[in-house]
Amino acid sequence: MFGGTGKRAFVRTDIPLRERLIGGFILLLLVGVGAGVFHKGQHFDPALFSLDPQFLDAGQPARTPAPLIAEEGEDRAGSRPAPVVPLAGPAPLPAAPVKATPAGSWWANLAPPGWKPQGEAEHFAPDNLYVKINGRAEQYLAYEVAGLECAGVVEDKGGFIDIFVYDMGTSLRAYGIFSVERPPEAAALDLGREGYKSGASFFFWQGRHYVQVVAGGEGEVFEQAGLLIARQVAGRLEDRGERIWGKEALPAAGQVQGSLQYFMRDALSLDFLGETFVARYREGGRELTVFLSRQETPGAAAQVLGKYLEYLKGYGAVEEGKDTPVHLGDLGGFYDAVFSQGRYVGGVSQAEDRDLALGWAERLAGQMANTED
Amino acid sequence: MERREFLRRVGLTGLAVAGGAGGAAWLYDPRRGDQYFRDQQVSQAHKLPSFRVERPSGSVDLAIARGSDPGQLARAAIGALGGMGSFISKGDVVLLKPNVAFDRAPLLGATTRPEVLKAVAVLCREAGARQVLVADNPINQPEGCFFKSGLQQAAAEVGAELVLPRASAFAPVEIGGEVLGTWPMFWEPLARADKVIGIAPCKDHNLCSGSMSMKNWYGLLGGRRNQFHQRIHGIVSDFPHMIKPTLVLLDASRVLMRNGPTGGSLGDVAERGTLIAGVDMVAVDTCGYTLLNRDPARLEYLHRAEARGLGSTRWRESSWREEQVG
Repeated sequence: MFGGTGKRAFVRTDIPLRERLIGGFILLLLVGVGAGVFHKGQHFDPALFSLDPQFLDAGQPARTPAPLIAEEGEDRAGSRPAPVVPLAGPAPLPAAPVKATPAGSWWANLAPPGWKPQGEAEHFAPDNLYVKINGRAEQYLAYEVAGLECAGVVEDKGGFIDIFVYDMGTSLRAYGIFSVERPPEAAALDLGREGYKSGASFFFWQGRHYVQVVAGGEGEVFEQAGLLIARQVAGRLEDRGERIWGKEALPAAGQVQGSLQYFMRDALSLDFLGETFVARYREGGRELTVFLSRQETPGAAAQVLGKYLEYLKGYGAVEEGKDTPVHLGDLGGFYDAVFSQGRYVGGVSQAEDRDLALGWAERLAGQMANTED
Repeated sequence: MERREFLRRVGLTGLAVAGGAGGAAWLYDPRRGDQYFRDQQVSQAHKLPSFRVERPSGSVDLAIARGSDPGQLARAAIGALGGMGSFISKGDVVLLKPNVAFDRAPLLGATTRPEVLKAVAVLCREAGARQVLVADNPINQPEGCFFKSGLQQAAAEVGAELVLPRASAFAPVEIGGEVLGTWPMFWEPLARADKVIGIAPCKDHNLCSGSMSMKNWYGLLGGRRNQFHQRIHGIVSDFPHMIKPTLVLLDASRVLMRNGPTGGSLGDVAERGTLIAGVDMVAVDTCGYTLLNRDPARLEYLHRAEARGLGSTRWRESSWREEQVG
């Protein structure tokens, strides 16, 4: 408007039509952008703003206290509340997880004769695993699942078989999730590692993978196709023959078949007990639960033992071991016998027989004292 | 420049600045952006009407049917409650809400059994229902879930309309619960319905121990509902506050005893030969939880709901009946 020297600046009076049109267009564009913002604000996606952020800070789910007495008919180890993994924040919307199938993957040419692939394989990462197994995903996240790939085959009559391959990152974690999901009466099968059959469905772990071949029906057609698929998948997944330390450390004699489970965290529903194997044992018509946890250092193991004893004192009386490393907790008719030896913490949980609990814990403590690890 | 011209221009500039500032002040909203949108949502939210019906005094409130045929169990349980005619009026549009959460076959116990859905739909028709709708909102590929669970075919066989969860079918609903305030729901089928019947399987749940008739309504929520898993007992106990269904059925003919809510192994499934129907979801679930071999005294969401006056865990003190089928 004014020149820097106080003199009137040059003012154009002859503005070309083209320039006027461009100016008008820019003004209209600005109005349009404003109208668009206003419209979007009035028609927003409610899913984006429904959750008050305070909701996530309002507290975690209360941890179910460890049951002292198993319910009648309840599979205690299998039915304990699963550890809940807090979510880091708003999870992404269920975006389409389907990608193109790369050639040469485990699902390529998987369909047996008479069956055909059903669509393309689906891929899920930990942050969208809930899209496929909502409500169950937390169990897998507790074992630090790395991903899930699913594929399916269908037959002409509408029957279907779904294949789930969970990448658990390590063989120990693959064994862990496999072991906690395995039904106690599972029929063992020569398939992958510790494969079993349930109806016409097949389950096994191999290398760092946990595999489920889930049939949509029963009968010979499903069984034959399912087994063929399961064997094909087993043949395509890497297995370096890793050993599972807990399987070797806990005694095989007397162990109830299929009862050995690995808990990465919250074993026996105790939030301080991670890296733990738990198994049921039978002796003289009586059953008891034996556990063995491996910590990073002997100091860490001693800390875990300390927490265990604190827990026992909270629920009953504790008898300190004198000539033995084993401490005995009396929980009103149920007994926990615990010890630490080197990096290991182990013992017996909630046994009905005091002497049986002590005997088992002492034998296991002696065995672990001789372990070089 | 002349003084007059100078003053005119200064005045115009001042007016422009004042107008801009005034407009900005008029448009200014001190709320954070997300709060603004939440408030907008509340102001636009629908309210769910009650779908309950007045029942004569002395009516049976909870019925347990035992037997092997799931369709017959549904008929027997509803019969014991006074028949479908005591719930459905001629010309009603009835929404059936099964659990279709996963693309699992019905034999795996993770979804509502097609036989039960069909039996209830037929009973609705016999009672004079003008239309039967079937709706659920599985997170993963609804078409696949309805197909593999057998519920798509079941709906087709009885002439029920399957309402799939398209984006346009969702709308915010004012719930006013402890956890759920206003939340997007699968609104379209609810808006069309005169009566609503929940048909849930009885199954283990990894996070809340049991998924039954109350938890079944989780399937009508939209949005990022997986976040609610952090406060699962609070959210489940909000459901009897959120919705007052006409009737609920808990199908425990085949129970997923472990590895729920997805299951996958027949070894996890037990034949229980039981179906429970009633108007009080808390009562129905208290009764049903025992079929998972678990103690209802330890199921937190039941007691939360009862403490809020949303139902009773003391179902044995109510009017109930047991029927043996076959």
